[in-house]
Amino acid sequence: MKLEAHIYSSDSERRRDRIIGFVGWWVANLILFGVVSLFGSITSQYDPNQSVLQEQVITLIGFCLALLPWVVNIGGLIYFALTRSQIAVGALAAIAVLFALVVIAGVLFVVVCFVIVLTPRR
Amino acid sequence: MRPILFEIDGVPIYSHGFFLLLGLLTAMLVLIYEARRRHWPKEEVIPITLAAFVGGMIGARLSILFFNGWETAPIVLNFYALFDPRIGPGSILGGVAGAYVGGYIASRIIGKAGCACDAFAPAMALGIAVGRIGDFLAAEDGLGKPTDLPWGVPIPDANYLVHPAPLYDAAFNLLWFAVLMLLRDHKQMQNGNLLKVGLAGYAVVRFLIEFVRNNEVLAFGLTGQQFFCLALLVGLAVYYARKWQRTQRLTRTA
Repeated sequence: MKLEAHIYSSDSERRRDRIIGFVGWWVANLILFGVVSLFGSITSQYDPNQSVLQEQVITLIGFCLALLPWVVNIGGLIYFALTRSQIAVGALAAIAVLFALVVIAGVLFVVVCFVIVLTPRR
Repeated sequence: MRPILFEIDGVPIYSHGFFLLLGLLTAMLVLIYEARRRHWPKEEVIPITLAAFVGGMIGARLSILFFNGWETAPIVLNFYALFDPRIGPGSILGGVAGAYVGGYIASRIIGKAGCACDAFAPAMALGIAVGRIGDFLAAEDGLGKPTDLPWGVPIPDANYLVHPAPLYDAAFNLLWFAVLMLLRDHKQMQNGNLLKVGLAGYAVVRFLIEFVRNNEVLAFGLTGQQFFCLALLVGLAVYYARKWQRTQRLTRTA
């Protein structure tokens, strides 16, 4: 499959694609988040002592679902960057806005950057 | 130490988060200033900066898997945990690498001729210098290893002094920022060279600082961060060796 870059003919077309990318990222990720959370809540009720095979299947599905947002987000960004670049810019802006909000919200929380050793060893 | 910097109406403002935000804002201001000075068009600045920021945040988190071990996977590999402000972004080294990769991919995709990344070099140095103040005030990672040196600092719940490792980092980056600002217009420091020199300088100093930090030792007495710095330095050495060989070949054929 050969990916062809779309050539934009006007500023309004660029703007429209940026909006599609921005809004589309939120919609796609809200759906994905819902699916992943739903699966998480279903599997949390599962009794692990029932069947080894069932447990393995659930673990595998869980792993695939955990990777799905990465594949959709990174893959989507690269795909749109190569085809309709302004959609990718819009999606990037959506992620960046969310990250910016996270960093701002971080001032209100004890941010623990995955600290393993909290006190020095003699 | 001062993990809570100040309070607004009883709401605590944490040093770590505050200086992380301030560091990012400082880096962004330097980047905007440098981009304008270099007449970098906004059609290129915006996507490259967005990609570098997003790449940096993702890289900071993913690198934790290497630095802190597989037991962090449930959080690190959870895409939506990236947006949990309680967790914190992760490692600055991973952030720098992610920002580089993100910015590089974006600049290739938009077809930018040459490398525009030199504008990032002083911005990153100053941003890290500011951000490290928060690490010091929050006493992150227990600051550093015990020391009897006169500049050792006390930490909570310990009756000995430790190396103020984040301040070493901050001091170096402040100095490095000044050096990079002085070098930025040198003709040998264009097309990505300033960023590469900036990264190499930080990698050398960070490698040394790691000896007085409390990060987990992976092998041969070295931490994951030190292996990362070594890999970066080897990568840069290979890049410059190949570039030098190419130049030599061209000189011979000319």
